[in-house]
Amino acid sequence: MSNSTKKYDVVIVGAGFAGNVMALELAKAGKKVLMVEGGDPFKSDNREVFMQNFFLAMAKTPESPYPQNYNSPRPSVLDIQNITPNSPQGQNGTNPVKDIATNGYFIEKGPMAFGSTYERVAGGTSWHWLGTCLRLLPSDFRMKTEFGVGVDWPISYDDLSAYYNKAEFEIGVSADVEEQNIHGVTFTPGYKYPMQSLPPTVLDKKFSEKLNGITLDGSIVKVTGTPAGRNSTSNKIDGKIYNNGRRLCQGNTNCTPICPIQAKYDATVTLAKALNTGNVDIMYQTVAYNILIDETTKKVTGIAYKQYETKLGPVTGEGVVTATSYIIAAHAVETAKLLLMSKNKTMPNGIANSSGQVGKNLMDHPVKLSWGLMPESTYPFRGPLSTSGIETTRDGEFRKKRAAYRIEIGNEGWNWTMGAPYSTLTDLVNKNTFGKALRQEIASNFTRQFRIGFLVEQLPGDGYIVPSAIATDNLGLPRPEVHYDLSDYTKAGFEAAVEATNTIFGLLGAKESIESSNPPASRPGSFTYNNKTYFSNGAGHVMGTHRMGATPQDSVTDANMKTWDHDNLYLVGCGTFPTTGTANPSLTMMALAYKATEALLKTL
Amino acid sequence: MNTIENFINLSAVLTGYEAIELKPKNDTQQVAQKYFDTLTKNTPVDVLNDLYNTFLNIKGDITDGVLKQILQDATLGQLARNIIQMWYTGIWYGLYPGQMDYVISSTAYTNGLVWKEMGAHPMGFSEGNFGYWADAPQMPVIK
Ligand SMILES: Cc1cc2nc3c(=O)[nH]c(=O)nc-3n(C[C@H](O)[C@H](O)[C@H](O)COP(=O)(O)OP(=O)(O)OC[C@H]3O[C@@H](n4cnc5c(N)ncnc54)[C@H](O)[C@@H]3O)c2cc1C
Ligand code: SF4
Repeated sequence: MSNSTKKYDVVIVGAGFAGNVMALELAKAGKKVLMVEGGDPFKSDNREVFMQNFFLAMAKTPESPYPQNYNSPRPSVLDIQNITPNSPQGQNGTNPVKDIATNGYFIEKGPMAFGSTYERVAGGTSWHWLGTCLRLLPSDFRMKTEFGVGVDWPISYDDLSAYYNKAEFEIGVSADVEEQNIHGVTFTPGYKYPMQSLPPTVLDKKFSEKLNGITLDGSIVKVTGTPAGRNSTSNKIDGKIYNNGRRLCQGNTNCTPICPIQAKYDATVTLAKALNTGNVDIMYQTVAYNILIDETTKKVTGIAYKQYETKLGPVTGEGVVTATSYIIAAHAVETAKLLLMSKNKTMPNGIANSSGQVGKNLMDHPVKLSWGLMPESTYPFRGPLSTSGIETTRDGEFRKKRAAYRIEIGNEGWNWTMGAPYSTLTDLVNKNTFGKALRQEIASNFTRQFRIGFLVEQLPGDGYIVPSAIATDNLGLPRPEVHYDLSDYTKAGFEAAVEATNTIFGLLGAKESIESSNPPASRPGSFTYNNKTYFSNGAGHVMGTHRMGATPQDSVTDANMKTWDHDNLYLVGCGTFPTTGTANPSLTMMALAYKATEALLKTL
Repeated sequence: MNTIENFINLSAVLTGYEAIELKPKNDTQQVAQKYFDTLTKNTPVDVLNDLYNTFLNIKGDITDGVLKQILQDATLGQLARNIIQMWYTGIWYGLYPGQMDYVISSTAYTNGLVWKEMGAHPMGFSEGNFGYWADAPQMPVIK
């Protein structure tokens, strides 16, 4: 496809979560938008094909429905390995690209293994997001001022409040305002979420019954419904019943890796609307690899791309797309990588990088999982993967010394933690349990499995990514080299999570599994702190790699996500977060995308 | 010897289900046939013959016989455990050289018995209505 003759107001790199929102908003304002998407096209039968892949996958990982694409490759949780000075990741780069599937896309340099992944297909990582849509707390924007750690955001909760409303409307969030106003979170007067909170599961109710009212981490616990980007009973908004045209959640318990019926929001919803406006063109299988700059004005003049036709095929086209303004929305890792790859004589450290902060401050919400058996059946593997959580632990004076966390209550038994029911079934069968005895064991024991997850916050400075100097993908473009670590601040959060686990399990009368309380030191993601071994999982919440800030000296963009260095270049995505807070990040990212669009529109 | 009837009768003892539940008269899903074919395809003939011979010659209590003569047997035990897992999860675990673990088919996955046994549904394949998860499920009755 050649778009060289048509004039565009904006080029957007990446048709994922953030990019699609901006495309739709710009198009609604009458602007002409060209999207450049590296992955395979969005087609109406995608979901069916992906579901079949999922059914047939042995390891039902977040990536399992989506085929690896060697021309637009993505990391996989199956590739996470221990990192030693001579670990194979370092040598990966010299292997043929076909080995990406077995040795991993990331070149991991450690010291900690990085457990998070993303998807490079139209719609982006939202295909396998869980759908949790919490707002950040007011104090999350002021970590330096309130607690003397990290940095402050250049904006406050109040600056984002109205944009949160918009994002919640577009996603179609199901939640209850009364439940969400904790730790100073406020709502526009009269505000209602588009849909009501999802019904709690049997397990959620047990948690409420046993834990509500106790004091944990200095706050009184209240188990609450988790705001979710999945369809529930509609509310009336401005006199009209909210209706996004999608189906009600049927509780397929499969939100990650794929919702079979699109009851869960994903970014293809917004992409379809954007394409329908007639103002948005999209080039698929088109990978951006170089941002071109006018050396005198410092303005972006175009973005160079490479195209391919099949997942392992050769480059079939090259060119440059141009517009008045440019948005990079290629995910926190790929956006930073693209900026750093786009070096030139006047910008030897990469585009938008006069602060030196591009690629730095790699953060996630490392997850401490705790699992065991309830004293009675609470019936896992039913309903959405998570419907409730404990948010009261997310703030307190303790944040001067250690990371906060939120607690997610899982509805999928030991699936994430141990690969149940497969693993637990194999264990039983290997003990020659069979026939009716096997059925009885499953009915009475598997139905008691449960897990909770502590999503622990990180501070900037722990890790960074750079384009690899040796390892490339099938297009010849550098693969991300990941340097990841957890600071003592975060590790102390894990220590507190273990204490909280003991309290919670004690009150529930639950028995913690041995693997949960004593994780082996040899697993990738394990670390030792104060003589105890902990195991951390990735949350998929990649943040910080092109942070916003108040000054050009210590940040990459301003509060509108415009780069300090280039007047017509915007960066959107979770990479803009200066600190992580404890809320799953995408709702905030989407609110920020609305903010950026508004600012950009004023310049066009 | 290697007939679907023998396969179903043995499977009934191994899984704890009635033969008629494993292979209903009107079996639109054809999972029994599929599992039978999978087992046949992936197992050396002499081992299969040994399996069915042993099964058909059990005297006295069938459950006890299957435990002692099949599950506790070095060769037949592995195969019998594979049959159980096939019914419960739709997976064939590679047993013989060159075999990989694989999901037999999407239909096999969605018919895995383990999910029903928990009062649940295969992940990604729910036939429940919105909100069903708020209450305890109707659990299968084990006769
Ligand atoms: C398992 C999992 C569960 C999650 N659950 C939640 C949750 O419950 N709540 C929450 O808030 N967040 C969740 N997340 C995080 C969420 O998915 C991400 O924050 C979000 O998708 C990031 O959006 P994005 O637009 O920045 O990137 P993406 O959605 O990844 O989109 C980036 C797009 O850019 C394209 N692209 C990349 N490189 C190029 C290039 N060079 N040229 C052209 N195109 C390119 C990609 O193909 C993709 O389409 C989860 C993540 C994972 C992995
Ligand atoms: S529970 Fe099922 S239907 Fe509901 S959002 Fe998750 S996958 Fe979709």
